[in-house]
Amino acid sequence: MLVLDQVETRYGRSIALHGISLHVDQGEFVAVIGPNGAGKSTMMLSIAGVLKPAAGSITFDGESLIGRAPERIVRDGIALVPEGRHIFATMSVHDNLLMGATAGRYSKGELGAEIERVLELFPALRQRTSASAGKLSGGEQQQLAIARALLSRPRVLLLDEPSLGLAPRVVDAVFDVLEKLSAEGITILLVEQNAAMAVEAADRTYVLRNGRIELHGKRDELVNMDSFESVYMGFAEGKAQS
Amino acid sequence: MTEQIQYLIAALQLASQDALIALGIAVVFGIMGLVNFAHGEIIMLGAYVLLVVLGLPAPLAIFAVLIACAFVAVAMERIAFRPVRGSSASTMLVTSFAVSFLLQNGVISTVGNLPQTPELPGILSESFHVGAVRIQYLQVITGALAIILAVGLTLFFTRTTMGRRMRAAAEDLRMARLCGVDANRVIAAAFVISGLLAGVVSLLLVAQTDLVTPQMGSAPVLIGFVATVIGGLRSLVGAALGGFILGFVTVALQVYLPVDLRDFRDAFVFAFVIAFLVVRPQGLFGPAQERV
Ligand SMILES: Nc1ncnc2c1ncn2[C@@H]1O[C@H](COP(=O)(O)OP(=O)(O)O)[C@@H](O)[C@H]1O
Ligand SMILES: [Mg+2]
Repeated sequence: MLVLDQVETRYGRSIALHGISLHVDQGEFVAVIGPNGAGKSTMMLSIAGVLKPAAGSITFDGESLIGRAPERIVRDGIALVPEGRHIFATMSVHDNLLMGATAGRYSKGELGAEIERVLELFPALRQRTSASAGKLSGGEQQQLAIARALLSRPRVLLLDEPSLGLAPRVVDAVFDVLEKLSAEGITILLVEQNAAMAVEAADRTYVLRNGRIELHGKRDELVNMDSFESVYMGFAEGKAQS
Repeated sequence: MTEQIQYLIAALQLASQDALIALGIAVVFGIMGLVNFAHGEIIMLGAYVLLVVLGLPAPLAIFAVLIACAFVAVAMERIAFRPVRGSSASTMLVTSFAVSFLLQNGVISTVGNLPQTPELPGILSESFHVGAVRIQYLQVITGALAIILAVGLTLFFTRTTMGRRMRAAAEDLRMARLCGVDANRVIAAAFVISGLLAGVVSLLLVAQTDLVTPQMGSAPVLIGFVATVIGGLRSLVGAALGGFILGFVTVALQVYLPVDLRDFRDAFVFAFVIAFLVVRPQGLFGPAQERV
């Protein structure tokens, strides 16, 4: 469904992605883990159309996404929940959700019901739809960022480090929602430093380091793999929860 | 007492005008980080269009000026500012100076440098009395327009879909695009609003001074820029308020400065602005908190 082939992305002269290849199939939950600076966010921004790769291809259902504007890509069905959440802090929760619906192609009267449906996943937000989004806690802001992305009615949801800066209990809640969404059939590409939780939640995981994919495998394969253990231990000290 | 009220009315007029200029600059700055110094030339071109359409019935002439200004603003964005969108602030600033210079000199070389004085409807210079206080119709019109436009813009930004998208884009353009907001469209919309505001100011300035010159936009745009800085650059409410305060300070200095210092009024105005920015560098409504 979503295929990256030899994608190379640069910032000026410095190369952040050295030709990475990966694919996400329809309905799959795929994770990409890697330490800080590995190129995870660069990869997500390249898919979403914010950054333009210098070489390689990114295709969605066989069509190239390279050179397509971000506003076009979200309309085509790929929604990004960016690192740092980027909620519209000066606007209300409800207005943030309406912004998310921009790309959703709703017919009249349909939107209210969809907002209700999305808010069922996030009961904490439901109480606070008229609150200013900047006043929400970190966890609530992350939930809002995900809810906002869902309102574009994506076929693929891209999540960049949704656990960043959240308390463990809140992280659990976020991952519960992701698993629920996955069970509903949404295709998910998740990027995380929190390797233990990501590997556990995803069907398949890629390990990205220094702009290269170093390893790749299904959940059960990875957990038993020695080399995975070493790669993973290399950057996840203190983060692994097992 | 009568005299004080008279000054107050003059101050309200100038303050309203400065607020409208500041809003025109702030609406574009908010969305693309560009201080458009060519905003003054939109005002100036509107005045020259007014010279051409002066024979038409008033509503039609006003409409023509507003449309022309909106058109100039949008054309400016397409031709000059789109290619440098996302560049550094200084690149965009230099571009806007270049556009300003080009338009001013374009008018000088085609129409000439001589000031022109249009025949305006008499009512604009007439006045009426409330008790002993004399009020010009133009002062009433200016105040009313400022109020109507402030309310109208507030409703537009809070109640309409395009207004909401523009607010989101002003806060975080990249995120707005990731939500599906077409960057070209919100930026064009900002220039349309900015152009319409310039058109209104253009009409008010000509009505007030009865003078059209190629340089007439330069002073207002400086005032608008300073007002925007006082307001805190990113906030529309702040910009309007900044313009309002600046207008009041200007009139107050005009009235209360000793006679032989009045020629230096603008120097005192800028001294006030500098003093204000020393105390509050982020402006009235500067970034309240870091975005997370
Ligand atoms: N805006 C930028 N300009 C220049 N270099 C950048 C920029 N953003 C990221 N980088 C560099 O690109 C590499 C990958 O960064 P990033 O994709 O943010 O990694 P991750 O999300 O895995 O932490 C890093 O070396 C980082 O320093
Ligand atoms: Mg990152």
